[in-house]
Amino acid sequence: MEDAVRELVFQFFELLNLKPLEIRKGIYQVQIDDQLAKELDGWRAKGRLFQFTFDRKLAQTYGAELISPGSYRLDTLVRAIQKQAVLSAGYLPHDVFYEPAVRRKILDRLKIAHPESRFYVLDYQLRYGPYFWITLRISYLAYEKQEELRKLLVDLISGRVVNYHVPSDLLKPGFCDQKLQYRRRLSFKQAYQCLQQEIVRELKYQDPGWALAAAQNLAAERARLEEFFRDLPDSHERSLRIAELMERAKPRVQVRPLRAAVLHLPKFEYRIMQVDQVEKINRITYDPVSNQCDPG
Amino acid sequence: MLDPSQIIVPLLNYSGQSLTEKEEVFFEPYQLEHFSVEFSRSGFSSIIRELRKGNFDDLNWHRLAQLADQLSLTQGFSELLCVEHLAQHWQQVGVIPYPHQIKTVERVIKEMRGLAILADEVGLGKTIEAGMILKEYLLRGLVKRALILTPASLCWQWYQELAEKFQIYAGIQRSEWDWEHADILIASIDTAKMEPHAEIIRNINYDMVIVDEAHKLKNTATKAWQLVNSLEKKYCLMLTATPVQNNLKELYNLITLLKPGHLGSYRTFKQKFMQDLRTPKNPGQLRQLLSEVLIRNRRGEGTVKFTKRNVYPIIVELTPPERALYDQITELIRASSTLAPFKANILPLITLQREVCSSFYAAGITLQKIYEKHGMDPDGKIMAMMNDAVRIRQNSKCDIIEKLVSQIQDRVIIFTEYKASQEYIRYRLEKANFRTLAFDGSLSRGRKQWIRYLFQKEGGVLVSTESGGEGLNFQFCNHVINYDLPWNPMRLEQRIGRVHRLGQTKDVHIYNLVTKDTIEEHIMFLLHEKINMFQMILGELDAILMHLKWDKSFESQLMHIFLKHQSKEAVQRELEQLGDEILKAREEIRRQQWDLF
Repeated sequence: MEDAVRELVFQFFELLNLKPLEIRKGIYQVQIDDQLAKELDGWRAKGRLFQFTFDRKLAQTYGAELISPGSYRLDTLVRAIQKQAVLSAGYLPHDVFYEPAVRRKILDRLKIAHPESRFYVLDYQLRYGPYFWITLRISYLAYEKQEELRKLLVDLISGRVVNYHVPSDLLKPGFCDQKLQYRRRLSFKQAYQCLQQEIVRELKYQDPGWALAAAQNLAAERARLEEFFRDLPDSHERSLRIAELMERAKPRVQVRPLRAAVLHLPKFEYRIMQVDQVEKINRITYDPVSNQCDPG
Repeated sequence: MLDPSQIIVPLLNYSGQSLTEKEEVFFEPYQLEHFSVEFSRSGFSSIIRELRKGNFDDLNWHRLAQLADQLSLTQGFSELLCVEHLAQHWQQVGVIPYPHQIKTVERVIKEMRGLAILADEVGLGKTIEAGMILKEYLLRGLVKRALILTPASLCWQWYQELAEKFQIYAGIQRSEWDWEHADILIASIDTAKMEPHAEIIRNINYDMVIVDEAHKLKNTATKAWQLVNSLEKKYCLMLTATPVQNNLKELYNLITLLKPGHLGSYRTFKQKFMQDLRTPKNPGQLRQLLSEVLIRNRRGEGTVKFTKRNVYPIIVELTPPERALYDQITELIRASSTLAPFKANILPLITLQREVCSSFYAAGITLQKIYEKHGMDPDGKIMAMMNDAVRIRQNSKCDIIEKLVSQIQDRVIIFTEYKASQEYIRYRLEKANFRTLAFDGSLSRGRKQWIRYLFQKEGGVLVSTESGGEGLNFQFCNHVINYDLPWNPMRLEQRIGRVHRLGQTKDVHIYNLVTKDTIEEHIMFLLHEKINMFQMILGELDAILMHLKWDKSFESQLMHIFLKHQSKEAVQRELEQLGDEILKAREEIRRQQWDLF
């Protein structure tokens, strides 16, 4: 956690072209301008020399601002950063993968599937498939609130939802050559609907323990309320109290997309000659991120 | 790469959240067997908006934002977020959360699920507990809209406490418009219960409602009770030091307001738990039920131990010229009180009478103002008095102060009510080679903090007016000199409260300068000897004065006594009666606390 906090802070300043100086061991200093100060501390704040540390003791001794998990300053930084990059675009270039190795892998797979045949690569093309990469916050709400972050990819051609690990460090910003892109067949709205269905499907098969416990509590509280209002004529008050109870205790899951990126991930498209008793030409597309071939 | 200038500066509203941040809208929920799933429409819309505009941000920001998303996740109630979040701020402003407060916050959030009556004894920090609970829910995103209902006199205090201690920037309700346009609003309960305000509030869904001085909601027939009952609120906190004032029905009403049905219907409650209106039946079972919704921390083990308060009245003898001027001004005040301009408004005379006990410089300024405003000086008396005031070279109180400060040899705070007296004290002390700092209401918050820092680091004498000291704490100092005595005991308590509060580690020494044979002596008699105010529990006096329900202010009560009687004995007699009334109220309050909590 502490490492993540450090990474966040230094990357934030780096992206703003600011270089914090270590003025004393563990204490850093950076000049922030009016706009950044306002973004962090509200409209009245002014630019200043911002001194910070990640060490509680140093913060106490030297009066530098403490940035640690849960601290006020970390919270303001996190909020400021979260407002950025609602939408981005990037692509993973083919040269991350070694083509001869990809070719070998495909040929090996084909040989295993058809031991009597021989296979030759006629030619190949490097293409890109469009994906919608969405970061979601899933909140499990009852009396308590638990949250998790999910990063899911929706294939904008097939509508398939996958949770591959996207090596984000290797992504290049922007769009790849348009001629190499497969055309997307799904709108972004349809992609979001696919995502919704997938999440609902996943949630159906998740352990519902938390919801069962919450539903039990809710039922007990509701029974108590119903008992209290049984002889009282005011149905408006009854419905008000039940609405409050539901708001407070009803188990539910809220899914909020926080940000998205339009990604283009590499595809290797091969034309392969299969020699058996007859000759046949196969078109095989290999997705190196999922390590899957189409047709499989 | 994103240029820093591209960062959008949000408009801040009361809660510090962006005004552009709209309420979240969800698609029609999917209903599963045990729970429902709601997908945010607004979250997706903001992405689509960017897509339509073709606004693609740098991927590096995307990566960083994902890391920020990860760090912002909430994981149950296992640990309080607000303690860590506010730790550094509390260190700066001198707030120390006590274990009983943290325990209370944890209980309210984990066990009571945000519905609780905080009924700590006075001085144990109910407001701090409520502030921490509110902050905790805000940080977790479970509360966005909150309403704080308090007596009108406490609105400003709540505002300051929330801002200074919790960095919660609430609004104070002033117009009808405010109800719907502030996320966190502090309002007078007496205003809120009146139309059209009540109608507006009823249509707002609050995530949290906090009611201060909740013992006022004891009667279901009152508008205040009905208002709070009609509000839709997810969480509710009620604060009172006296959950039971008269009878058990009031307690039932209060709990039913918070959690209907918790004590059953009134009929079953009566059968199960009431012998008569004032005597509980099955106290063990009732106590168990109450402990599920009510927390009462008491002084003593496990809560707070205050250090000792030592009070030293120092009698100051006036010099003959000072005495002569004092008598002249007192006589003038007595004679003027029946005149037309002062019959309706006695305040200028009260001020003058108080100032004359403080310093003749302060009194001289007021005399001049009265003279200029009313132009009443047919026999040239006021002019002569002003001249006399200027001619007086010796100030008996300041002579004593110089001696006292040199004896104490530590940080000292000198309180005075008047800026003119403050300047004179500083002049005298600087002349006697003491290092002084001035503190008054005209200083900006930043400057006040700076002076407080200097005083803490370098010591010396801090000469402060009351308004200067408001909202700032000086637990690092344990010597207070009251150069003059405020007539309102609450103000005196506030002065002492600057140093004698949670966090003070040493015994506190209070030196009260009292000029002999003046009104100050009477005040000292009432506060020190009669009601022993200096040894009262912190906050107790506040509760007593509220309980008394006087139609006049404390200062006006005193002034009328002084104007009514010529002789010292008669004044003393009336003050005795006033003191008895206060003591009786204290007894009543103490008697009302049954052993149920």
